[in-house]
Amino acid sequence: MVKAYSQEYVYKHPWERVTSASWRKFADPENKRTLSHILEVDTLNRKLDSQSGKLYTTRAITIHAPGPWFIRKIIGQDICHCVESTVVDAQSRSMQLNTRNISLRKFVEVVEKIQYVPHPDNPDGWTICRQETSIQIKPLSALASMAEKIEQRCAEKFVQNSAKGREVMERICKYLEAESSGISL
Amino acid sequence: MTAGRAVDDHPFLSNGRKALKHRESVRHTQMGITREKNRSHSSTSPCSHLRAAYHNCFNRWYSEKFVKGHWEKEECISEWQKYRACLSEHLDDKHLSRFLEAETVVDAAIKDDSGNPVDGAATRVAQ
Repeated sequence: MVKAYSQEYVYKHPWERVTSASWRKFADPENKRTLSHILEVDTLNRKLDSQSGKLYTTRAITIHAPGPWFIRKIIGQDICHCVESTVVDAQSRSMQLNTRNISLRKFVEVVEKIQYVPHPDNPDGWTICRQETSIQIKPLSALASMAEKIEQRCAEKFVQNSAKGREVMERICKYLEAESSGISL
Repeated sequence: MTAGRAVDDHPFLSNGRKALKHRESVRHTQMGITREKNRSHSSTSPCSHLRAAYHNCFNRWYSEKFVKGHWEKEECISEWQKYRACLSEHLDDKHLSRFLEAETVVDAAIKDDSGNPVDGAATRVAQ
């Protein structure tokens, strides 16, 4: 049982600004309230290929995912650790993020892939964000009988949170835009 | 004392010494809360100041240099080393700490999650 979702969104900001905003998304204290399910983000590893202009990053993201009481009872915790791997290619202007959970894998596997590339109609002004999420409840888990319902719930939560994420991204982009033109908000 | 000097040495923290003092007082008053947090999950909050310093430095480098084509020189190295040293001390979670150690971890993490790596990422990593 796998549920997969894909979404596409166009930011009316250049790729450079949108990807800058993506790095700041979880760290900005302004956004802590909106993205309150994100508890902690740590950079674990970073590698720059200074010849090709590629930047590789691994981050740990700690998410608070409160579910119905029976889920918490079975799983025993409501904190989930995810690892996000990112490749930014400055030369071809692409950013790929790949996030998956590394805890609670006995119960559920979530993979989220996000790609930021310049919009073909306006490559210097707009950016496309393509997001793919797949959620899989493990068939042998104690949750099997409720799996369908939980998947639905997970998916709803993901869609809600990605809308919040976009809201935050738009806000940071606006801030960066103002900053680059010398206006302070 | 040594910590105070180290913070002062960094231009990105304009009020270096002040920030440090502030951090210490916050720590004392919020000791209970910090401990509480640590119990519920392996928190890296003791590193939060070093983390913020590094992330600020990185964000600036990324938007002012890297995306503008000046990627030949890595910056924020001393910030990174301090933050990383703190992480390796406080990151108890084995799943996470293995990512600190591995050199080529990013490649592994991208390929490892499924048979179907992110389009493009895998080929770029392979080069």
